Amino acid sequence: MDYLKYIRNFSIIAHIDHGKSTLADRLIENTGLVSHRDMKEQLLDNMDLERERGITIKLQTIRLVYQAKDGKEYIFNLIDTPGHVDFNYEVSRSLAACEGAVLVVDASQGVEAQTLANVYLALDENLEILPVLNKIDLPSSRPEEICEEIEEMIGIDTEGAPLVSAKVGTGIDDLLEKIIEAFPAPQGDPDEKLKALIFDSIYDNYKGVVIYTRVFNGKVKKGDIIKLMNKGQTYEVTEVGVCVPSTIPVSELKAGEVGYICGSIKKVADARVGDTITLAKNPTEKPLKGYKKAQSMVFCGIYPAEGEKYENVRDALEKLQVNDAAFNFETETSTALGFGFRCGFLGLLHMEIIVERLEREFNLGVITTSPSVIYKVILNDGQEVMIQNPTNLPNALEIQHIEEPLVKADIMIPKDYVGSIMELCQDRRGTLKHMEYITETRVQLHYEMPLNEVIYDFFDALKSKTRGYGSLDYEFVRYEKSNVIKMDVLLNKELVDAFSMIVHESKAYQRGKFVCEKLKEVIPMHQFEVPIQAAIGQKIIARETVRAYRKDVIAKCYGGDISRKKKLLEKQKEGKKKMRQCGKVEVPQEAFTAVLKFDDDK
Amino acid sequence: MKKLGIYIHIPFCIKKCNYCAFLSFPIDENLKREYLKALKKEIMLNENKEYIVDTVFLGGGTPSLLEPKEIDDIIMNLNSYFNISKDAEITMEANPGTLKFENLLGFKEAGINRLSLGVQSLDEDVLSHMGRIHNAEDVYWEYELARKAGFNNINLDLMFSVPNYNIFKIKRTLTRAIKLKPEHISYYGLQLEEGTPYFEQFKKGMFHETDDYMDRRMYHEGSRLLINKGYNRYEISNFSKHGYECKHNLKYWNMDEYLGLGLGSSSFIGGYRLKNAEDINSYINFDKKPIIEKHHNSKNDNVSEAIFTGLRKTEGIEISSVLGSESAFWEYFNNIKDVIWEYEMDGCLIIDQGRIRFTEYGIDISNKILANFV
Repeated sequence: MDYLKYIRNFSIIAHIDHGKSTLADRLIENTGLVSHRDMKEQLLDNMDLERERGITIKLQTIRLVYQAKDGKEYIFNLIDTPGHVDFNYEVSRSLAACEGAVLVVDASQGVEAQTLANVYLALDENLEILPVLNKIDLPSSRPEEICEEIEEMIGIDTEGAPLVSAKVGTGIDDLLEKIIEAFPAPQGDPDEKLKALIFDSIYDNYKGVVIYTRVFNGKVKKGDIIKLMNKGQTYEVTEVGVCVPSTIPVSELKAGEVGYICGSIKKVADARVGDTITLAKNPTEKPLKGYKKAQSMVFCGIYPAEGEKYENVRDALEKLQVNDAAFNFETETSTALGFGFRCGFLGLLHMEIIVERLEREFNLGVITTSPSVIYKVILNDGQEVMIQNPTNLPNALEIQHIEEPLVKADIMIPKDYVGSIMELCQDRRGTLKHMEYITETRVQLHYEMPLNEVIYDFFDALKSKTRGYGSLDYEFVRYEKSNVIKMDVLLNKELVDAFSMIVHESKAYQRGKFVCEKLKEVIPMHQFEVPIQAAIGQKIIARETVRAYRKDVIAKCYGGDISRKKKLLEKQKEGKKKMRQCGKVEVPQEAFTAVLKFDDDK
Repeated sequence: MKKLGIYIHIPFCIKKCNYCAFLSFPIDENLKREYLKALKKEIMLNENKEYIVDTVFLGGGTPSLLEPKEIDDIIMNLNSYFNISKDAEITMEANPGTLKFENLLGFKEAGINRLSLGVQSLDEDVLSHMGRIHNAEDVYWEYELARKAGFNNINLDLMFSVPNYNIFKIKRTLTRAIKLKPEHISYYGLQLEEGTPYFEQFKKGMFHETDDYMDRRMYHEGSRLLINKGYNRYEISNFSKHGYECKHNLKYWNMDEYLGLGLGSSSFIGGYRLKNAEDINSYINFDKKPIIEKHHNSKNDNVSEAIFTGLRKTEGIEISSVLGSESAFWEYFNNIKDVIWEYEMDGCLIIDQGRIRFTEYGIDISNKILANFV
């Protein structure tokens, strides 16, 4: 198995903004196959949105050819990982396809909560970790200190860790050599039964689903009948190939190699990340371990904005779903917003990304309702129902109790902010489990917190209270009994279902007041007074009033300048278009999101 | 023959008033000479004898700052390049504090037969707060001079919702104005426009904007006072004795054709809406017509404009006149039929006998309603 010696499969793991994508670009540039001219800024992040936010959402893999100093040619398979807490499972599967991970740490900022989370994922997969200090060109960089921090916090040797600046390109050659040294070559037997891991899949208009895979044993070629072991479906392979990064067909993929497989698969959900591919005729006995079904943690309603067609939104959601196994939706109806969709996401970021993609890639205007988690409602007769839309909460009399999901939240912050963050967590009903000094100046707080509080605006608050230095990682732990209640919002005495939310009893007054105040700011004056009320059942807990206007008339229309007057009216009409009719009240679309925004003065 | 109104802008004032956002400059002999030269050229370039011109309106600025000779020149010029009807309504805006008897005689001689006086208020405090150059006494005096000079069609411009006004003061001004027995009164609310001294003062918190409640009270109580004294409100802000409606202004609300000449003026002619240069230097130095905006009205433009201008008139619009028939109108506006109907239920509109018009309450929120039609 000589060819295996010259393959290295690895990922780059890093905290957001620590320069992962830029570094990947440099590796690509400094090896073969991609010419300088074709270098787009940050090649691996292929969606506009990702480029803008600086985070990778959709994984990509790329095959590089490196002419090493020993005169040999090496194949590097660089497998990109998504950089956010919502995509932990996807990250873990990408890592499972590798033998090593390059750990990028910002040489001035040091180790962040997410770096740690990713390192743990990599250690779980028994990967070799090669620490790399990035951004050493910055005057604020302090590589020695950060190396100490890495040794102290992660317990890996930083002796000889490459110092690079991906931005200016220093240290890249050294890094490429170190990759060969530090990471083991893959193992496997091409003559064994086929066993390959799906670590990503995307939908292509021409090829159908393109599965990105790492072959552990055996080989696969065009014409083979493959079986995806989770559901047992079989497909005929229409193409196998490698990514450079454009797809290039090859005759076969064999043990140790990374590439793609196409087989006329209709949706990515059928080729779920983590699933094992084998041959239908001669299948392997045991699938690879670690497969998990996608589970939505956060839900919200997505509705077509005024003037937007329901069908267009549905088509767009379907297209997104084809490409995103973790995203799901079903139809729902709201009296305030009409026909729309209840959508499930991995987390809040995932939700924001989907909404932004609808707006940007599909050019659609949509309204999103308050995100919600799944509540477990235990009825008096002992029956359990899972509720993710506040509107569907059964009558209070039928409910014995409600349970809400708790998460384990790991928060890493500079020590100066401990006080204010503990206050924040307490305010969000968090229970401090444990606190540790990672270094002299950095603290990790371990909290248990209701997910409901995390999805609301916790992340924004954390960032704003720590001037961006705080980082968060969370995962579901369990359901726990809780005093949560449904809070409704009434406009002009009429309930607007899209504003209903489930809140903890202790928070209801505060939240009710906040929502009423926010709505007062954004709801325009009407011909009549508009009372805005927050209510629990029949009880009004907060109220604001939008006073009635008496005048909306321009008396002057000077010298026959009709066009100017017309422009004013057109502007007014445009404004009206963006309004939602809730009973007799016109509600601007931003009202639906305004009630979610974190307010610093709060 | 088709009829045409001509508007001529004279952008000179002695001093800019605190509320004014119109195109005007302090008068300067050289600039005036240049300007009148350019205006003459523009009249020539627009020569058109296919129309009968039945209204001419000299607006400003302060056209009464021009010498009678200069006004005469302008009208002579118009006569050479257009068919000015013998009984055309020829209005000139004039500001109290600028009018001398011999000038008034001269203007009359030149052909001006309607005078529009920028009185604004007859309350000394309010006048000085507005930065007007005249006091109430000047108005009474010069109004009498105008009558003596033979003007038998006079409009007074009055403004409400000016800082420092209250309901008593505005009624006192109206009562004083009515006593003068002008044929026409325009009764406007102040608008805070960006770039005016008022706007700056307002931003600095030097005064409060009149609140909506008071603004509407001044409008409605003022209107009622005028109507009770025999003035017919034929348009939201215009009141007149029977037969003295301003024909020129009515053209704006009736989708009739008009030609605007001079700095920043607007035209609606041959299906086009046009706008002239607003920069004085480029206006003075033009070779071709100094038009900076030219828009051909689509059917939709014509329909919506006919409605939002027409509805400003008390009589409203004749539904069938907009698209040929009532059914065509309702078909065209099928998607907002319910909205219109609801406004009628709310007492904003009256739809009756083939016409649509605003109620008193509808006037107050007219923009919101009109926006549906654009």
